[in-house]
Amino acid sequence: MNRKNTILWVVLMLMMLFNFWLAEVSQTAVNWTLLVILIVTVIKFLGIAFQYMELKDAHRRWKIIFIVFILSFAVVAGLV
Amino acid sequence: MEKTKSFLYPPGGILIWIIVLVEVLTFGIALIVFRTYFHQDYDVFLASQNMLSKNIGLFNTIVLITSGFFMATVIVKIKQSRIKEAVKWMFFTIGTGLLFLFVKGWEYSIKINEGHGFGYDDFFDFYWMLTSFHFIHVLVGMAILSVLLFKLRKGDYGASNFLDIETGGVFWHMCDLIWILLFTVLYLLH
Repeated sequence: MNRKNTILWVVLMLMMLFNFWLAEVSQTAVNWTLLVILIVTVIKFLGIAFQYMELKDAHRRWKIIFIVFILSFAVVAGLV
Repeated sequence: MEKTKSFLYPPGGILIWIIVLVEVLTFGIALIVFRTYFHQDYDVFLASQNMLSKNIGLFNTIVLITSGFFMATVIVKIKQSRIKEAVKWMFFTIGTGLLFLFVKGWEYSIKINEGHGFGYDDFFDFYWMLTSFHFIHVLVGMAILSVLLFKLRKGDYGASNFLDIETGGVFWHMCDLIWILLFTVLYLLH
């Protein structure tokens, strides 16, 4: 068992439950809840990509490509 | 280490990362289009979204992320030359993948019995297209992992020879990444 992987799993679970709770308590499109849910989603996405998929060991161009993708996705998803 | 730091040699190989990039872009664009439709027909989409079982979606997210954690553990064990333990964690990975498919199939049967199949409205058209496409990816991932498990048990992989496992693992985690986006946009955002 890898300590970093285990910590990430716990953090992912907590963030997921937080996002779920936040979406449940906000029954209308409130800007700040949308923003928080998207930020947490970005962190989860990058956590899995960097630690579990070992993107942290890849060339920095790969890291930049995936960071740019998920940030662009979150911004556009939040704006439309 | 020098090799993996090269742009041409990311962990798992460049081909799988190109596939991951194309896949997340495809799903990402589709989800942006979904968000646009959502806001054009807000009340109808919100009503349909409320018909989804968020608890089932949450459960499946837990299952798939846990499966990803198991897969990451397989890689760790192989790097430590603990092949028997790697086999055990690979079984857990495939088992949780099966559980995901079973629960998703159950959710599909509930939606069909309720009359919310493909063609019910625009929301459910997106729901069925996106989640069934993801479902197929998980099926393909299970097939890949099953072949890798067979070869792992045969002794084909070890601490100095695990590129195939790493590649399969990246594909499996891609299913996690896509599901995280799907769950957030289809089930949570309104």
